[in-house]
Amino acid sequence: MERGHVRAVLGRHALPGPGHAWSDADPTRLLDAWVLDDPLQELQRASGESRLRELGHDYAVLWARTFRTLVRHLRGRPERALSLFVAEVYPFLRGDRLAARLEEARPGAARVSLAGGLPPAYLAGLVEGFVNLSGAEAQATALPAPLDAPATLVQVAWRLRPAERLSRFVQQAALLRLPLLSCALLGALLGVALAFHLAGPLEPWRVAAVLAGAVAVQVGSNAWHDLHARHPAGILGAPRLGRPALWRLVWAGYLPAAILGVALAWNNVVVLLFAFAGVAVSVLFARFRGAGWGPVLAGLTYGPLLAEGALHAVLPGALDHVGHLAAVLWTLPVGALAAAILYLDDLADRPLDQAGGHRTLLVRLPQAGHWLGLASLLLPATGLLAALVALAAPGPLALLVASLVLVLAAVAILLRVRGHLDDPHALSPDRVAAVALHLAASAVTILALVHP
Amino acid sequence: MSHPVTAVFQPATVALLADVEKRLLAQAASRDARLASWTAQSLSAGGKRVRPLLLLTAFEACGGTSLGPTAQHDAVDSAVALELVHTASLVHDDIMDDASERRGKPSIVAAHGRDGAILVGDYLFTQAFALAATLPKEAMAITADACRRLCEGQLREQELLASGKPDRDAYVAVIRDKTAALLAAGCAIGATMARAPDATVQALSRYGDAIGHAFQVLDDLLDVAGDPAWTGKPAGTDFVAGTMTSPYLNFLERGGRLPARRDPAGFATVREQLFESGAVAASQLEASAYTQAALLELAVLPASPARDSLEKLAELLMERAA
Repeated sequence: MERGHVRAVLGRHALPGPGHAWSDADPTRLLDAWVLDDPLQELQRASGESRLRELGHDYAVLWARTFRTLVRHLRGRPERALSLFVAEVYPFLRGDRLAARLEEARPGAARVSLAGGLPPAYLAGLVEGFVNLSGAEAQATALPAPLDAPATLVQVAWRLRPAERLSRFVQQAALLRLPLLSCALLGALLGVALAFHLAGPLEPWRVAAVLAGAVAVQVGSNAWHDLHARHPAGILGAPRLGRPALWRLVWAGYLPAAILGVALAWNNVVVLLFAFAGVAVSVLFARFRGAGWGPVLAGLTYGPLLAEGALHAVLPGALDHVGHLAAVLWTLPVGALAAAILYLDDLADRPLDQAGGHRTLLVRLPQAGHWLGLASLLLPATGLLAALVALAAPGPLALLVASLVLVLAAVAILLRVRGHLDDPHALSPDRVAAVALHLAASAVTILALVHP
Repeated sequence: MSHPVTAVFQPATVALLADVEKRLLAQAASRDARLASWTAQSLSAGGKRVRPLLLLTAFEACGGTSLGPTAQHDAVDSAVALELVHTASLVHDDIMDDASERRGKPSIVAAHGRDGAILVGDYLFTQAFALAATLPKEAMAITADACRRLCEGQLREQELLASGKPDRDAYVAVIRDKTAALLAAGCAIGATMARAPDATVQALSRYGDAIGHAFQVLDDLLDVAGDPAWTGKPAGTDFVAGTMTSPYLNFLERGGRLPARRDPAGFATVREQLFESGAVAASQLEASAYTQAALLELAVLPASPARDSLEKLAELLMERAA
């Protein structure tokens, strides 16, 4: 009977030690499956099925040690872990692209067909092991089949622990690009705070409509951007939403935004201009980013454009030139910090952008200018905010202290980033810190404007 | 801040590097001022000294530090000899490749001409073996074997490149001899100097061999998907040169077809195809299999911070490209 092939690494893992065909073989070498199957059958006779299952589990753990980033993305996602095993891992281990197939899937359970030639208990252990990488508790059973069957059917069921459910939710939320949603919401809130600072109490429905509209536009434009971005294919890449889900999000974002925009612009056509500008920027953002304008445009959009648009939408009455100038000044720090978020994203994406021929700002800038570019966003932004809090809207001492702490936080980020500008992995905590800095700076700005 | 690769090693081991650096320069010194300057230049080109670090960590993981200062001194000397061999091989590599740069700086051949570079390489090889001759004969034998494999690997690579044909066996053999040989030698020498049993020496040699393979496959992957500032070379160089590395071999095995003309402008399209066809994922899985094999070999060692360092090095390789 033809039992197919296996990679030598499986043998090295399952039955280490000298004397086997795989001991000195290149671990990627394909060997006849009987070379592993026969000793595994012996092991099963001597130690029972559970030993073979353990071997399967242990192999998944070993595999996970070499794909730590990917495995972090699998937390709370057992179906994705199983897809990964079926689509990539098992075909690789057997040297056959058709070695595995998902026969049936339903919530919490699935049935897969795996090329045979290895003990069913071992295959069930492999399936359980890979599903367990998601943090689920899996139970797999190899279904009875004739001895000469070319494939083994494995039925697997899993249960997700509550902590892993939370992890799944967090990952799905992350796919919605929470930092950008927060930038949009805070930019609009800043405009509302400015209007309150200038005119006192505002119409609640207008405030609610402005905030909801800003978030809705952002949801739509995030999805639009993802639909048109070219992602490297393959299940070993970063997780992302499918096209149908993205189209649903485009509609779920732009349609309510359009309705709210019309309602807000009913008596004030200027609001429509801001709304059109916002949507145009969001739709064309990828092109602008490719032309090197990404962070600059993000800064203008999440700062002056959004805040001014919100200000016009909620402010009863017109604003003079001096008032406009003052308003724009207040929006600059928040806009610059939003630009810093995009700047750090572009810095981390630079390797792939460059390889893919995308001429983003960070690809265009010489390496020596990367840190200076970030410094030119963070330091003036936090410095200007501290000056505005001290001079333009003096309030509680705590706000002034908080604004000065933001300057120190910006310096801390810059010092940290300087050590690993060329390391996308090491930049991850700095990207989170930049989002936190933007959030804190927005809170200080808004509190400074609305305090009595 | 230390390089992420250096950061996985124990601080005490990294501290020994200062000693290695000092002795490297002393061993490469020459009565001829020009040669002394050129050899010093070749040694200070910015390498991470992975081979000496591996050798010293293997030495420590096998309990070598308990053998006293003489054994440690010998371990440092063998690390120096190995690094001299490595540097010499790079200088000669650059002559054969006619490379103008090495790690962002002018190569020795570009700076001092072909004759100068041949002399620098020869001098470094000679000084390496002069030092190795003062060490236990096993260290000498392993170093010499690694050199033999370097030469054979280089020749095989040239044949492979000249043929222009995809040949997986030849690709694996070239990596084994050109990239992995010195890493395996470093691990084996470290274990030998620590007087480890033969099975442990062999296991550590296989560990070095496996991370050498993983490193090369990932390097070949980074040529498709990496940042030139990080890899030190423009993306797509293998494509333009016609080198059939892991991603391209996987692409062809999946029925893909590469354009006859290999110009840089066509690389972006080919890159997309490499991702779309699953060739890049397959190369990631290959590198992972080598890394798994490396981790499995470490089971012969008792738990220790040095063993942890060797495990972290293997995992780091994948972390940075997967």
